[in-house]
Amino acid sequence: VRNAFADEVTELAARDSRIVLLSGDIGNRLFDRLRAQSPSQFINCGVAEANMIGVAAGMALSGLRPISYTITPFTTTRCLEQIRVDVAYHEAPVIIVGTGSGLSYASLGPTHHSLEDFAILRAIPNIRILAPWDAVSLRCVLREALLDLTPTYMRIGKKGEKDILPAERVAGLGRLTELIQGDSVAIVAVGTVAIEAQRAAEQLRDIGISAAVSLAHTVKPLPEDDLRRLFSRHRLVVTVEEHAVSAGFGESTVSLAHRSGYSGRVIPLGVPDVFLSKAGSQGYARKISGIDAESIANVVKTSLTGAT
Amino acid sequence: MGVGMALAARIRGADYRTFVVLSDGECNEGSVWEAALMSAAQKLQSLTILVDYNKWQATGRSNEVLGIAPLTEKWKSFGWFAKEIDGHDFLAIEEAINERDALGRPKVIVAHTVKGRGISFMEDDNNWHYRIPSADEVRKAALELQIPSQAIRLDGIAPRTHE
Repeated sequence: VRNAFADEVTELAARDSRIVLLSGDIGNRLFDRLRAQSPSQFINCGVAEANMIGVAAGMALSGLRPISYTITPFTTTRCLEQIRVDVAYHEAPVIIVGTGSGLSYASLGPTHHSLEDFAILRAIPNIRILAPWDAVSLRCVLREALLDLTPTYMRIGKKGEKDILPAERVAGLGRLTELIQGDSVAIVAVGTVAIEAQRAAEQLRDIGISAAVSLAHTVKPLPEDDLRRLFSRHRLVVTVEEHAVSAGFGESTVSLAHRSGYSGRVIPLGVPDVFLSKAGSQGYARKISGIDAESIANVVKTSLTGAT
Repeated sequence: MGVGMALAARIRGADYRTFVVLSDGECNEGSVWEAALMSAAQKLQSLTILVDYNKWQATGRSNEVLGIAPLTEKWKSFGWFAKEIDGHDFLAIEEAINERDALGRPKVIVAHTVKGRGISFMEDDNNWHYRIPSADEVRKAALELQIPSQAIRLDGIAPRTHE
């Protein structure tokens, strides 16, 4: 996914001279093509993220379209003040990209996890929050985000994410993308954890449970219309995100369900309220957090059998 | 955090010293310089910083990415007692740690180092910021560092004699 991002930015930068990529001392060699193509459209800001976001806001308010790029926790919690005041309050058209989000860097420990970005940024006005699931959806949402001037935060994966859907099937910003049709349960997966939901639906199909899967690349504004459509068709909605279960996409959905008078059940799946101090692969971290395919399938199974 | 620990020692009347190890890349962060200002203002003599100045950070030379040089002069201008040493010389490290500043300032030891020093195929090569050595490379490195093969374990596998 990182490579697709670098590729897409290089192409966009060739067409639009206002685009500038700001890197927080990462992406070794990743942006070599961009730097060769147009040195002034790439700036290494060093390990100084608070300054980087301030610089991006200044550029954005001066007619440029800056895209900042570094590892997710460093470009969210580390520089939150600058995101809130410099970017959001000023409605500066900055695109903040957090790479290796969620549990992508599970092997490096909690310093490199980002499991609270949705929760924190959701509460800040004017910001759009995006979480594409693969290289294809990343290119789609980045292009669309550049069409308007909304300050945007986008968390992406690291590398090796499998492409799930062709671009024609990726819905626009603020919409859910339908991946699999089904009628026993609706699973809504946010960002790169989509692959786990897809596998869970396959496991459920094998035991005769027909699960619908929708993918969400927009966390804010919440895809309310499409979620309400799911409420009207399903008695059980399970949301999955590689994020703390507190105050993420799932709890937003629960709140929407309540406000909409939904009489079915919404189960939000996410990472429990603890630091994952055990290091391991992303797959391992998802498993112990209960957001891997098997855990999702089990929750669905238990909820459906418990309901009858 | 180091400043807090040093202040805690003063407040609680404890006589320990606080040591902080920083990298040159880390000195990009504003929070380092906020702590530098406060330590000097508080005359935190019990605080000593060692900067591992290997001239590399993730994507380039630290003197180029944010122009960290002249590093020692920066600390001096922030009100610190600054020493510059060869970071591979243990006696020099010991001497710098023990040296007392008559003016009672916090101390920074800028230790010039070479990343991967002593391992011919790693020395000053920033690819090793990212790479994980293979089992063979670990053995080769151990041989160059004169570390006995018995002292090395790879993925929990029993040590193997290196030739």
